[in-house]
Parts: sequence; structure tokens; C-alpha cells
Amino acid sequence: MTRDSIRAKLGRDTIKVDTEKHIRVKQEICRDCREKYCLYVCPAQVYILNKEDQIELDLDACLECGTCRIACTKKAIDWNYPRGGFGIQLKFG
Amino acid sequence: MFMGNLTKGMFGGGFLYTNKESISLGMVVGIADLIAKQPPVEVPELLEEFKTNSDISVLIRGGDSVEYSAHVISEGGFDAMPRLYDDGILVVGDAAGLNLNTGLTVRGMEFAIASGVFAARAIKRAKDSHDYSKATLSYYQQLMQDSFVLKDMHTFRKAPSFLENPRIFTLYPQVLCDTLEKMVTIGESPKPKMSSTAIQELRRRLGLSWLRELRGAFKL
Repeated sequence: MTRDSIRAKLGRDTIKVDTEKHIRVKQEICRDCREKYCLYVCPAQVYILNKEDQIELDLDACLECGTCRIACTKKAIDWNYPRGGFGIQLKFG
Repeated sequence: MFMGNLTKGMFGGGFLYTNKESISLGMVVGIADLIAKQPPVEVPELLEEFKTNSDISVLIRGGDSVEYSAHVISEGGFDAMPRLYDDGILVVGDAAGLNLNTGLTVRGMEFAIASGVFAARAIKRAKDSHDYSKATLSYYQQLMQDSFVLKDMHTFRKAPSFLENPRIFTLYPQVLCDTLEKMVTIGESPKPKMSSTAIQELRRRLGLSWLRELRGAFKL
């Protein structure tokens, strides 16, 4: 099996995107955060640093694992599951 | 189960489960170790590197990924479990912290299924008596206590603190592999007894306290 890009892997998942954002970040905290653990602990790379050095969220990719919520030591992440009927739908467990 | 280099010294390991029509290949990595790691490692990359390991790559050659998922695992064990029942509520599976990692085995699925069955029995009893108070629902706690679920969680309650020893993920797997290699290798010079080879290697790698280290591992 060849190396898989994160986009290719996520492409195989069924994710029904909620129209309401289920994760919000407090930009005023992120701005001063040097560590930005969210950028590399997320298995789906939901957190992206944009050209203005701001945290952007790719919520369509979220696997709902909750790692970011624990890893963010600055408590800048407001994390909820998507509403019922939305989010990742696992077929293989 | 896989331990060693794949987690780059961090808490965790790899797993490969065989399902009927597929396999589940994955990794567990401690979040505390992940954020302390310097230089930082990207989590998706860890899995890709694991897949290129020579022991794994031969097994998955020609295969396709069909799904990619992730989840936080509660590793606190028995002492980190919440109350399992109250008025109108029962807590089962993952939410009840029913995960048991002893380093050699990682369990949780059977606890989730069993706790679901016990919860259903307790709910049936509550429904029959039209009483969903915690007094009635405490039957769930009793069923759990009498079963392998809470018995095993209790027996291995020290496992989480045992696994906080970072040598388990670095030095020990290395020493185990090297010792076994020395035991099976036949060189040019006369071969000492297997037991001497093992003791010598353990003493060399673990230091004077090698016996205490070994005993510590059996405390589980």
C-alpha cells in the first residue's frame, strides 16, 4: 500500500457537514499562542494556519476524536459534537 | 500489538485487528507526550510511517484503505471511572471509562457490549416497576460488579500508573528484542547457556537493578 495523503484518506469517509459550526476557536488566544499544538495533533488536520497567521478550521474533515480539546492547553477551543444526524458516519467501526 | 520505534518513544503502540472482510490497522499515542515531543510530529504522518514498517508493509501490500477514523481513549482505569448510575441515567462503555490498557492487551469493546447488556437488564427492571430512580437503577452497578467488567477493571487498576514509565515504550521493547536475538544467534565462539545469555544482557542493559525492573513489570 502506498503512502496516503490526508485528503485521500478523508475522501473515503462519509461526513455529513453540519450547517452549524461544532468547533469554535478563540482567535484572541490563538494569536498569542506559540505552541499551536492543534496544527499537528489533529489526525485530520482540521486546524490550518492561514496567510494572516490565523487559525482556520476545516470542519468538513473533523473525525470527532476530541484530541484538540485536550491538547489545547490554552483552552481556546470550544468543542461540541455535531448535532444529531450530522458528522462522521462510520461504516466499518 | 506493536510497541517500540513506531511511537518515537511516546506513550502508545500499534494494533492490527483482523475482521472478517477487512483489517483494522491503527495507533494509540498519548496526548501529553505528543504535545511535549520535540521536534513536533504530525499525527497523520505517524500512521503513514507505521504502514511503511517492514513488518506491516508486507501484510497490507495490495490493499486499499476503506475508512479513516480517530478517537480519544480514556486511559485512567478503574480509579478514573465516573458514577455509573443516578436518577434516570446509566453510563456505559466509553463514557463510563471502560477501557483497560495493560500494555500487553488493550480492552474495551467487550466491556462496552457487556455494560450495554447489563444496562438493558436494569432498564427492563425499572420499566417493569415504573421506577427509574437511582435506587432501582443501582441494579446496573450490582450486575457490573458481579461480572468480569468491574472485576477486571479493579484487578488492573494500577495499570495506568505502571504505563507512565516511559521505559516501557523505549528501553524495554529494545532490550526484549536484543535479548531474544542474542539467545537465538549462533556465532563462531562457544555459545553460553540460554539463561546466562538472557541474564547477562538484562544486567548490561537495565543495570544493577535489572531484577527490580523485571519484578516491577510483573506487578500487573
